[in-house]
Amino acid sequence: MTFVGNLTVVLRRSVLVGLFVCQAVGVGCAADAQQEFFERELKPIIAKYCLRCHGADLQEGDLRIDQLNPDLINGKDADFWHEVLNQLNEGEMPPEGEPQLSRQELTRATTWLESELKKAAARRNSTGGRQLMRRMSRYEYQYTLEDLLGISLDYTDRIPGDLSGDDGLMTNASLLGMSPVQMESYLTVAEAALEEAIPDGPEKVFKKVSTAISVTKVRGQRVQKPKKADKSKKADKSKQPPKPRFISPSPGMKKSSFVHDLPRKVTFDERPFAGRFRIKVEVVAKAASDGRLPELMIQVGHRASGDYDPKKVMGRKMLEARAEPQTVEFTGNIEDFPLGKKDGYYNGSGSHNVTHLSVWLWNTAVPQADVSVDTPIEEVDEPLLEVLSVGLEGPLLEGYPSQTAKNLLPPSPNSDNESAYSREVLARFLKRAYRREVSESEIAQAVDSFRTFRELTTDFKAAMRKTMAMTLVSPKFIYLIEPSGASDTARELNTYELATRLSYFLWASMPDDELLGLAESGNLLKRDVLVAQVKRMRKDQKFERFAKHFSSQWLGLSAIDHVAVSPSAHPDFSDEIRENLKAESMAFASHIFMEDLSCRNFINSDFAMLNQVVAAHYGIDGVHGSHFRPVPIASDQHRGGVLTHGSISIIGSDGTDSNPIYRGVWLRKRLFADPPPPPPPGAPPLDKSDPELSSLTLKEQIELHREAPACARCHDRIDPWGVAFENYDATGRWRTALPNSRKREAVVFDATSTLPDGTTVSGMSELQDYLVRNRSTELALALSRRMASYALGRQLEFSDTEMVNELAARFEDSDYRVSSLLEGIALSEAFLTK
Amino acid sequence: MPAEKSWHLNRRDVLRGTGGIALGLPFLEGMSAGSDAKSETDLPKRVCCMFFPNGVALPPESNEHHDDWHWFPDGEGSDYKLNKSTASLEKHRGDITFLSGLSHPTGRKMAGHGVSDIFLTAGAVDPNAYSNTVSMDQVIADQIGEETRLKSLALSCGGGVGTSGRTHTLSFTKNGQPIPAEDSIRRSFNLMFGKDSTSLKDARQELVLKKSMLDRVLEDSRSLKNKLNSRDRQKLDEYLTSMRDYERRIQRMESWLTKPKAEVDEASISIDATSSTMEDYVRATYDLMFHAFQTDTTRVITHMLGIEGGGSKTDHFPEALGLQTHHSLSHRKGGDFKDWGVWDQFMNQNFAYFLDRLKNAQEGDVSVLDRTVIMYGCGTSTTHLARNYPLILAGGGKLGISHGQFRKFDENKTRLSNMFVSMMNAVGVPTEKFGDSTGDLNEIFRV
Repeated sequence: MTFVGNLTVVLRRSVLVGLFVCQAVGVGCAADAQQEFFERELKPIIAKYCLRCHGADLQEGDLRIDQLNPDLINGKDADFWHEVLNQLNEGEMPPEGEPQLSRQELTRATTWLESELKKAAARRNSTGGRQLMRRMSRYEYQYTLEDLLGISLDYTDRIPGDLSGDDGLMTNASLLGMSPVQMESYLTVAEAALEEAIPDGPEKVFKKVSTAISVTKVRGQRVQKPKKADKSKKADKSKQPPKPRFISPSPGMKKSSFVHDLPRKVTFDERPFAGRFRIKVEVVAKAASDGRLPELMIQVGHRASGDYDPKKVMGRKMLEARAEPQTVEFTGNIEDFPLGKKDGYYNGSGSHNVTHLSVWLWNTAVPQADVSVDTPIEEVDEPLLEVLSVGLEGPLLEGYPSQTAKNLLPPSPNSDNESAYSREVLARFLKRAYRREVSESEIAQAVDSFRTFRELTTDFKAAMRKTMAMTLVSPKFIYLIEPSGASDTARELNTYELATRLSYFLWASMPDDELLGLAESGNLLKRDVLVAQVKRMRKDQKFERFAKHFSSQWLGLSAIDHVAVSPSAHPDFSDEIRENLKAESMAFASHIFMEDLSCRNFINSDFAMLNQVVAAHYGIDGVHGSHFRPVPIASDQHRGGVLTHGSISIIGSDGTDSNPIYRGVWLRKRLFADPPPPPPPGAPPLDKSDPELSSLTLKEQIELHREAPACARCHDRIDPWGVAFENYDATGRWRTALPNSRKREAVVFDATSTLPDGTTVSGMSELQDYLVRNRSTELALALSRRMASYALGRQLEFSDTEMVNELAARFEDSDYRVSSLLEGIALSEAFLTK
Repeated sequence: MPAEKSWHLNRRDVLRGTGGIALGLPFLEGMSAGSDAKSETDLPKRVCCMFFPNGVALPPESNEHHDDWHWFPDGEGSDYKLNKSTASLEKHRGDITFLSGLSHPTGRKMAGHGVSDIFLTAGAVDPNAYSNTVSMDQVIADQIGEETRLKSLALSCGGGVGTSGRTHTLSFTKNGQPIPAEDSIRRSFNLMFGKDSTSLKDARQELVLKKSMLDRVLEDSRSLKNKLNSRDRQKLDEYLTSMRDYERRIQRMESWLTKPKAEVDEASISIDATSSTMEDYVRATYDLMFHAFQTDTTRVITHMLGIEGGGSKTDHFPEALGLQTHHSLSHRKGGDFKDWGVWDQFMNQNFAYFLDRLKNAQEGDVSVLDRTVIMYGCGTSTTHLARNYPLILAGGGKLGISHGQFRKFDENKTRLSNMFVSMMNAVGVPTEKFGDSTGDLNEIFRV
């Protein structure tokens, strides 16, 4: 299948095609050009500087460079060349006292070596532009279980994580390996999920209401008590102070200093041990005088012993202010919370008797003012909550198990005939699990297994769970299999394979009944049907999974968890803010993808996706509640586009201050899909403790280090991008200057930067304008590449160049809407071919 | 039981005989699994490989802190002097060897932090190639692991597998897949010594069912083979190998089901310590390893004391001592090496504590330490430079290792993998070559 190509658009991009070739696996004609370059440019340099010691007469370190194969891609000497590159980069060779390469010669030699080594590495991983049989990733396994079994518990933390490549993508078949530990985790999870979907029978139902509400604190929380004005009242200390009725907002959940903002706790000694349950909170909500509303957040877990945190957020809700009590409900699954099992064992421990369940209640509205410890609660002008009672109910039997789960063992005329019924059940299940027609012998084998297990367990449901669990660890389920026989020639996908590829691309999971129906009828291969399906799937709620996982992998958001933000440099920062900043970026991407807005919004947008935590962190007023929503942004608020996100600022920092180098690398790697080479071994870090440097601003320090030619070669093309972010601190707050303080002299943050092409920008907003105006085409190419690679489950190669160019052209013509990219990928020959 | 030797004891009897006080019973001859009688030479041989990240303080001679905080000792051979950072190891002089100059040649070309991935594999991990090879401990575990409840144990203060280039585990399977490492003291403890909550009958029934399920899946999967092209077949092979290995693990579990776990008092270890109580936690990992060896629950352990680079939870460990994060310490050049040295000192003190415990535990006529080959070290010396690994070889005095020296090697002549070859032979795994090895290290390992 080909596109009705828009010739002019393709031509317009011809310059960039060349750029792309340079990054792809260069073979064939490209290789010749490279060898010609070697002969013309590199050979003379080597002869001039290297061969006296590494040539025919002398072989220092047993290395003779003139006999190394200059073809790094097909030859066997790439590792030696890598060493040559390192020596040049580190300035180790030529040794002191010998003639040194000029700056230009150095650049020429190292640039060539780097690009050839990159190609050699790509060649090593090459799948020849073809898809491999791909294992589901960890999150895909979870989603598939949800859709196949109708379960709702999250099992991902019981499966080892997957490796991601340099591009951050987690769908790369080459990387998705298998190990015995992995096998074990699949079986454990499959059995647990089937217990959830096909439970043995209803448990005892618990229903309790408690008014025993105590003031409590969490580990590490320091509580300041009001100072006694009159010391003579010491004698009264024995008298318990009255319990504060209202909970005021807590400034950061961990370091409360005010007795009124402590959480409340309720403990139930009897509780359900499995299934869905409900917590009902009866509460009075008061608004602050400016109308701000309180937010109730509850956590469920068990009493802490030792040094760990056995509780988890169950939900939060912003409440309307009302004089009379109102009831708030939260539902969840017992299994999702850190609670013991029926026999009291927690995590298989022999000593932890955990049969109780505790509920912690917080007011998570953002406080406006620093309230003094001594202020009586009546005078605190903040949104307030008063908890009157807490109820626990469960397991909830309505709507559980889900309809999908019930359909695993549906009512049938065969119900009385176990052998016929098991066959009927398994035939349907296998087809859905394997996402294709199953053969008679496959069904017969499953029925045979069932009979064996039935004898061993003497229980119908247990035997059925075992049989289904087998299916869920079979390679026919875990892998996306596209059998091609022994022959290695490319072939078109059949309809079932296409349905599967499509659903793992857009839903990170198995095809639904409609897709399977179109696969069965063969209609899915019709172009208009396929296009309509892509559209339908994009509008489905399950497309949110794509938005979340693709954006997170593309932008490298998981890195935010690896940056330790310094509490002394950023005392207001908390893990809660970190979580919310990460969520902001995902919500932003989801909004653009789900609403099919222009992807230019990633660079610059007139809205931001905010909730109250993020808005407060950015100093933006008027956003209440924990849900993310688009908020119009004025230019003086310095937000809009992903570059201004706190998540990206943190990733581009050392946790204390911004790091323009990290930020530059991030921009090139993520937005341009053009990662700079890694620093050579032995590259010295920017040394802030060096007295000569400490008097300089970071920008000056960076400029200074670029004076060394070995550094400048790469950093000239990295740092200027990052300098333009300088008005965002390590946590993404806007800053222009720091006044004099005891610790440091006044600093003015200068984000003016001259970009590699000579354009000067005065900071973020001009950088954004520049990127949108001058670099849209490259950004479109880069996003097209990443998304195609994600969809195909492999790295892209030279042979994919044309596809990417066509995708990008289409993407640009549609004003950068993701719908056109998704459709383009789904219609591409690569996607439709095994 | 015929001709039971007098020293062939039942663990329960021993417990009763000592009034139930003896906890964490040492390995005694004749109590190893599935054996009726064993000679002295069948006493366990063990191996333990530990890794710490980010290099060590190596102030140049010109620096004022050189004498106090230079990790490598001053001198050479048996005539070497320890300093503040290593002083805690002085009493173990006869049981340790300092090594310098060793490294993995493939790692020398990598950015330093990535070398943790290949510390025990000596493989070539190109950041773009994502492939690794089997780690040395796993080759050993395949040979000597069958004797014990756990074939091997992978610990890590980071936990899990991490990412390519920032591994959280030192152990890799035959296919080069990372083996998730355990970071929870409680979970590891329960795995080895915890009481099980299911009855023996239920547990056995579960295993019988599991085996039957896996057999059937394997049988069914083989039929796929001839439907796939050569690349896909490799993927399927990886699956089949993993499945077979898992099946073997189930069989092992079955054979261990009736044997009681060794008894170790939970109160003797900081069981709920986590990385936020760093000092207790690090010590608890050493206590765990000690009990694992002493009770012969496993003979092969790897332990990753920290994750390379900045930002991980282990990077904050030094903050508990009032220092900067580990990665920042390692980047401190200029004048001040002291803080970094203080951290090295803390690490060495804990290592010395581990050696103390092993040394003080007797089995037969020797100490547990004498039959345990320990490698302790890092994949970079100074930051980002993956050469001249700081390494200490310890224990195994009765397995042919002659200690007491500071040995300096020429990196162009001797590779770290050569030492792996000798270590493997010392613990009874006949080996000629591992990874990129070009020989052995028999100048230290008497054969």
